[in-house]
Amino acid sequence: MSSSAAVHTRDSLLLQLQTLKNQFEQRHLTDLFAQDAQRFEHFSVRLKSLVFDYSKQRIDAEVLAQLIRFAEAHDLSGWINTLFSTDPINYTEQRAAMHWALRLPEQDSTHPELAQQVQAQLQRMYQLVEKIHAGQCRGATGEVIQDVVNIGVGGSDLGPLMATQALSDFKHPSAKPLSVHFVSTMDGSQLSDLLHKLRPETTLFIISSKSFGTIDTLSNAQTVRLWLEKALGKQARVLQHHFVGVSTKPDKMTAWGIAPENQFLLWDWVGGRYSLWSCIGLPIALIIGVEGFKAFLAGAYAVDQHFQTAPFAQNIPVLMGLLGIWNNNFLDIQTHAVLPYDGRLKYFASYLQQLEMESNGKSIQRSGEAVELDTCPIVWGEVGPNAQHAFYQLLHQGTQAVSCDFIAPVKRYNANQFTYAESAEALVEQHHLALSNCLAQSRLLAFGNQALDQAELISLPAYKQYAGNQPSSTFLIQELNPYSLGMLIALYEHKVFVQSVIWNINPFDQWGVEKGKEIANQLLPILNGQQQDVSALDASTQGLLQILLGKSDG
Amino acid sequence: MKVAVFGRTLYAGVMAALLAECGHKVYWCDIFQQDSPEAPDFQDEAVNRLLQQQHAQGFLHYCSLKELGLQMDVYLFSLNPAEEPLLIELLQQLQQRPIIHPKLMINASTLGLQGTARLKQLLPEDDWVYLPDMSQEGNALASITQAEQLTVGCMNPQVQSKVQEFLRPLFPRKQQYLFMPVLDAEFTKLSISGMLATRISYINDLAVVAEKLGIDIEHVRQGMAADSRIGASYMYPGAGFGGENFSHDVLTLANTVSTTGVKSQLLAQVWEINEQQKELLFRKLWNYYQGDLKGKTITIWGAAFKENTSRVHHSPIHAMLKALWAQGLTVKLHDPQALPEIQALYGERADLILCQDQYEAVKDSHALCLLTAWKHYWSPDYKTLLKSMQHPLILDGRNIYDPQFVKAQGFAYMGVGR
Repeated sequence: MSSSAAVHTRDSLLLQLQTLKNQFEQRHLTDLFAQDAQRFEHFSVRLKSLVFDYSKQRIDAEVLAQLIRFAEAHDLSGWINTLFSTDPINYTEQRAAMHWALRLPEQDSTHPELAQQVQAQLQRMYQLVEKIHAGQCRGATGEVIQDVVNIGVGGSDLGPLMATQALSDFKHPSAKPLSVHFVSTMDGSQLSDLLHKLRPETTLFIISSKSFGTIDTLSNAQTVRLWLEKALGKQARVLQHHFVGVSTKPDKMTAWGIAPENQFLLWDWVGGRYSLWSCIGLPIALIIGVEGFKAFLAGAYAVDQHFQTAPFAQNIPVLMGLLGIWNNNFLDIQTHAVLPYDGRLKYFASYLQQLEMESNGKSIQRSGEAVELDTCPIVWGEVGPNAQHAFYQLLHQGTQAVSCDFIAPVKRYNANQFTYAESAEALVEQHHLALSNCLAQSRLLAFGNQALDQAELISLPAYKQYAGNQPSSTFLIQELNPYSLGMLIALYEHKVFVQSVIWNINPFDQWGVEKGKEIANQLLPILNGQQQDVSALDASTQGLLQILLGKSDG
Repeated sequence: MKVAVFGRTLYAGVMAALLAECGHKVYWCDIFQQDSPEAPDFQDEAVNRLLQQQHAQGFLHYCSLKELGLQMDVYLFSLNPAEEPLLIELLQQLQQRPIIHPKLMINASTLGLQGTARLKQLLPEDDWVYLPDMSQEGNALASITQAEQLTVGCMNPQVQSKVQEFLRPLFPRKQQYLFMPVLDAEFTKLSISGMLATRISYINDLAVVAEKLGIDIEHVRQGMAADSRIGASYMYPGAGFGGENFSHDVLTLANTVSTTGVKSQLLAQVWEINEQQKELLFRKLWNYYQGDLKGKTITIWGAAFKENTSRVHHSPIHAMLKALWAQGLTVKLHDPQALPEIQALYGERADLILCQDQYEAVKDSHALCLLTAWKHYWSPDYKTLLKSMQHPLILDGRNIYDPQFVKAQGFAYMGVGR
């Protein structure tokens, strides 16, 4: 297809979809379900231990077919091939985006060299993990490391934090009690709360920074370095036995004082928000162990294969992406809520905020022109049962249209893990309570009044009524474990990619984030008193600086 | 009376010998299916001698379970905690025998709380009594015969008088019996081990502090021992206590405490301090070499949990080997008796060299760690050490050397708390 012909096809498909949208604006989910008794069978996909039910989305077979044609017109297949290649798909930074390579099997035949490069670093990480679990990783005084603090921000923080929380039931046993902590904010809030609880002799710090230049991370690292040196003396072996670095920049790690044997490498072709599969995932491996981490990678690899091979109509990331496009660009639903019915996924929404909004929060196409369609919606969310007591009111009776993803494990508390084994029976009941709430909420959102007792409805005042027609998808996973979490994350990663193809934007850069850092560097000398002249700044910033410098009491 | 004794513990030996000596007919019954039943060879020569004597005079018989007559008046069980399954099996076999019940059943095995009650379930018609094993190694006979009071778990007055008659030659006066419920007696036994362990961990804890303050803990220890309220026993700082039964008692007590829901940390701390202590010499080595240990060779003298035994249960050797190996060191190990046990546990490996000669073990070594205070280690040939070792460093895990003297011979020396 020539490019002008392709544009023509895309435009005509866009028109057809807009026509369909006009019909669908008036159609209620209740009617869609009434018309098709087999709607669940028709609009759900199974992948291994996971079921993706999108029957409560406001679509029918025709909309779906049209969306898939729309994706084909954007050459989605071609783009998927490009993603799974070494081409510099991240064109603004001239880099490939090969997070998929991080989960290649050890003996991969398609990219043997890549797989080997990745494995070499992972194996080194596994050795460290095993040493720590064996109680044989030691600080400067020879005492055993019992606390590991991950210092990182953004992708070096959110991913590992989310996954360690999600997999806390899979804690690997260790010879000595082992705790993993996370420190990210540049203002030192978490450090000030943490350091006084830790012993320098038994604490290991992971400095996790892709560029090893992130000021948030380096300022936290500097504080803990001083804290350690105060207790243990200012000697090279303090750095050697208490710091591990994960970065693409070995020279910068060396300059900072990280011993070569404690340096773990990743590569420019891994985006920060896609990096938890690499040695950035060290905190995850510390919680779930080497075998657990391998299962985590295997889950993501299974989704990579699914994404590349399944026909679009059965391809979960493609469907997730296209349903998002339909809701956002056609049904004008501008926010998307993620609602896990499992307390362990409490950081999943924050994680997705970075993954989706940092990736697709763009407005310039690959062509350099402004985008034609709205891009990434606002992504938000919270653990479902807690959110029921907070913002669900707005979902049910507010004026905003919101699409939702519900996520729930089928089984919980079934593995006799020591952390919950004693109360397993009562906890299983609680899980059933959560599941029933999950189903009830998606029902009420979809069907509104129709989900209520019809006899009661007649006497119900308007303020007790529900409009419904809020679309949602539901993910049921057999069990939340390293493998299924790996799958879930990879599904969302590829969903983001699918949408970026439709919007024709680069999901792998983040220039909007870079600029703020630069401006901060201009203001720091003023706050430190090294620079007096503020005349170049706007009046608001000048006024605020006066207060911060104590020249005005506000 | 006719007494059947089961088990191979030191306490079983002492009781068999003493009971035979005062006229009881004692049948030491083998339940370990040995070829020819006989008493084990104890480290305590006095016990061995008395056993031989009684055997020769016909008051002590060795027999198998099959040979054991049905007319026993008293059954005494003294097995190690790990042998509980064997004990259960034995009781099941006794169940099958046409014995006329009730008999006096004395449990002297430390099976934790409710241990005696578990045994009683199998032979419920008999009179069960718990007699805590109070024998002290190295002083076994006297520790029983000279005990001022005997703790007995038994509250039934009729059974109490049976016990008193049985032990009358050893403990003639009524005041010598401290009767209490079985559970209380079991807890007493564990509490004694807990107290002793606490003393060891206390002095070890002080040793760490003393070291930082430049105080020699040996002076402090002697000063404390001079106080008659404290005394010297179980107060030696060192590389940690071990031993199967003692460790088992302390762990059982610590677990018992933690599962009652009472907020008590003391015993867990006592245990934890001891575990830390076991790899103390490793940490000293680590500090000495600034964490740069890879490829070095280290000599260890002593693997047994204490001198005069080949047993290595809960000995500090295990923590040391693990730690040293994890850093890529080679260990040359000497022990007069325990090498076969070490070999059986760890097998052949390149980073473990077992040496039959203590001087052969120090050849090309970067440090000599003393873990067990065998007498042969107390006055080494320092000239040979100096010549053979690659680096003259002595780590004294039992404080058996004089620091000044060792340093004067040209060694770097580090002890525990000094």
